[in-house]
Amino acid sequence: MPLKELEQINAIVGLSMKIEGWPSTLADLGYVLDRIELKFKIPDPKRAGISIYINPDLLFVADVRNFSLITELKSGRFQGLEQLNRFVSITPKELILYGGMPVRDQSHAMLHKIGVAEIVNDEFLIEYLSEFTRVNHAASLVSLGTAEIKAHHATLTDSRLDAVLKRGVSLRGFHRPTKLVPVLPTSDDEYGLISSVVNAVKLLWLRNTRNITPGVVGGVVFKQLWDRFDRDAHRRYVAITKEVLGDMLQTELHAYLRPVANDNDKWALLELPESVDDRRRTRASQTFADSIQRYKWRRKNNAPYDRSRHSAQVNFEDVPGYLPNKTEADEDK
Amino acid sequence: MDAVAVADIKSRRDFHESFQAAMSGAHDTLRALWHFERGQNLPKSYLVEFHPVDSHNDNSTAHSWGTTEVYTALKRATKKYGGEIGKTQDDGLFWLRNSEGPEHEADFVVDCLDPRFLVFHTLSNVEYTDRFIINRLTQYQPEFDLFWFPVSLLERTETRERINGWQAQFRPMLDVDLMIEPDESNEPTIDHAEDESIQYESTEFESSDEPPARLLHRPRLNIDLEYQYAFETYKKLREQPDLLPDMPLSAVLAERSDENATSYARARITSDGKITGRGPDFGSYLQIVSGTLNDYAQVIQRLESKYWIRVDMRHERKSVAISVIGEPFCIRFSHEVDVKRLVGFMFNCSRPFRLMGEVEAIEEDYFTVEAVDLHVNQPVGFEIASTFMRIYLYAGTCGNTLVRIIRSLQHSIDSKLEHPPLA
Repeated sequence: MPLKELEQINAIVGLSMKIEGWPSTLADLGYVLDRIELKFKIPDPKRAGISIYINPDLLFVADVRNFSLITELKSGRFQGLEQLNRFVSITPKELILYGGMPVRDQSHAMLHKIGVAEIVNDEFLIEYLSEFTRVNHAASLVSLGTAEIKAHHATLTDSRLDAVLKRGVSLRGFHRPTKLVPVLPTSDDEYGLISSVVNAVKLLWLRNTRNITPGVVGGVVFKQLWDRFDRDAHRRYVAITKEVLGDMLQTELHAYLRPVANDNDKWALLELPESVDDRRRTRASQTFADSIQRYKWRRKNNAPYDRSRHSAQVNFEDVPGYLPNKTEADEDK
Repeated sequence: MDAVAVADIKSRRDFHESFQAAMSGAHDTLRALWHFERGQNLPKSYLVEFHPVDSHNDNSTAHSWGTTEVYTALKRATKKYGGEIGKTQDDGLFWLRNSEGPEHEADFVVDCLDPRFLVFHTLSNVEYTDRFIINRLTQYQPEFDLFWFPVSLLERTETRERINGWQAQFRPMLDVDLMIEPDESNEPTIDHAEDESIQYESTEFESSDEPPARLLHRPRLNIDLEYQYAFETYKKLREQPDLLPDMPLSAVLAERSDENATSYARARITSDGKITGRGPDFGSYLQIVSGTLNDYAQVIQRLESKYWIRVDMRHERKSVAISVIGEPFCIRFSHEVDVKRLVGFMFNCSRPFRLMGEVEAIEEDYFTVEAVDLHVNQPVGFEIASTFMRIYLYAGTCGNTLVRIIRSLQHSIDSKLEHPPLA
């Protein structure tokens, strides 16, 4: 099964660290992850007065050896070379000046060498290779599979890295890291986004939070980054959060979640740990955890809910015993 | 000074004099005031980590709370369990009385000179002090956790004190229900104890149905050795891996005397942060306690500094960039473990791991877990295979989680697991 983009990112970022159970190919050659989703503008060399966006997925820098590596990750089929064409024309000066790449020794800055690699899933290698060969593209084409990471086309400026990747790095017996880079609102990993919402609900429940909103969920998932994402990213994540909360309350998490009447953006959490006697709290947590596990499993596997759905309209005031006191309700406003 | 009740302690001097009086031969008045029996004048010190749940600063390992937060949290706990707390003239010293009935009183002097790493000193009956600290405060109040000493941290005691004794205990957790048919499905299941009292009464796994020795893959072990060359013996045994495959230190007996050798104290330091004193000199005992606490505090702060994983987003003049800081903490097992069963035990919300998490299979025998540390209710990620475990300590999650996991694995799964240096 092809890796998703976030899985690819974690696998490649893992190569720049020395972590148990995963190769350290990039780290061994001095590369350190400098940026994820770097986005900057450079002057378009072909059009006067026009700037173009450069948005590589990952930037690694080996500052002692004076190399950098720009990587573009593609989880799906071949869709074109527009961004890659821009990457191969970037000069070291532009990367330093506009991309903010750190330079250890200024006198070596102009001797800096940039390598560019497109990393694709094994399953789609043949169609990418065909296109790269046809246009004789300057970027390296690297395949990522369960058995190996291997370069198939062009030559990287760093000859040592190029030789290692051309030879191929075996992944047999290794286990790829999955959690170095968390999901971002811009991710195309749908289950990753759903899972992040569920994890936030879990945390908020354990913290005895009575009322939650998509903004609160976003704040828990992305912490201080939440306020720094742009409006589109916010809108997208809020929509996903609403869908997940709406689904949770109709299915496995019905006992723990209800909409708040007359407020489309607020949900109430029920059966909170603080409402349970000490001696029964561990069991209550286990029961809640079971519901979370079942919900995640169903969403991950796109399985239908095998019981009849609860009404989405039954709000928390319909739950016997749920009577938030006035002070808390006011504070939440 | 005259012996005083815990509520009459006003200063560190009062506290020191009371405990010194107890160690040098308790008299009847003191015994009555502090609720201990004849011959039970041992000072005990419980090392407890305090981490307010709502105080997370995700970008710094510096913590911002003070003694006020400690006092407030303890006041809430004593109100819940029965008891009272009071301040002394010293801002970093409280007294606390837990009372679950007239015969079940436990008195403590709470030293919060470091408001994160606390010491609960007591002379009271161990049954009631254990009940309050282990089975109440650190079990059900998420802000509080015990100290957890992995083997390497207990071994480090030798750099500060003379070691004249040690204890090693191993209870093979994955062997506990060998007679039960294994689950053949690929998705692991979380094991939930049927009886809540199992989690309630102990920091360890408990089962009255321990399998017969002939069914064990790893030996149950309990060694207690005391004599002047005891630690040399420990080191020799440790270097013989085939002799005792699992021999994790669970306690060391430290000794300290003054330069003229006229007075001394001994202290038994356990791997769950309880120190019990003997000997006539409270000053020496207190130095052992303080040295243990200071070393632990440095380790926890270093772990957080190095292993907190956080994502940073920078809006620079002409660019936007996200970077990842930190790295996962990696444990390598010395032998292949039954990972499906391990995750079932680790993430069932119970002690000693105290983790809630959903297990997802990435490959056969390779699992990822989005967990919550129930100590501070903060997220922590795991990737677990039969040969290793990666722990992602997200910024804000307590470093105590790491040592709790290492220590618990060493005492029930694999005492010879390898991990990065802690100190």
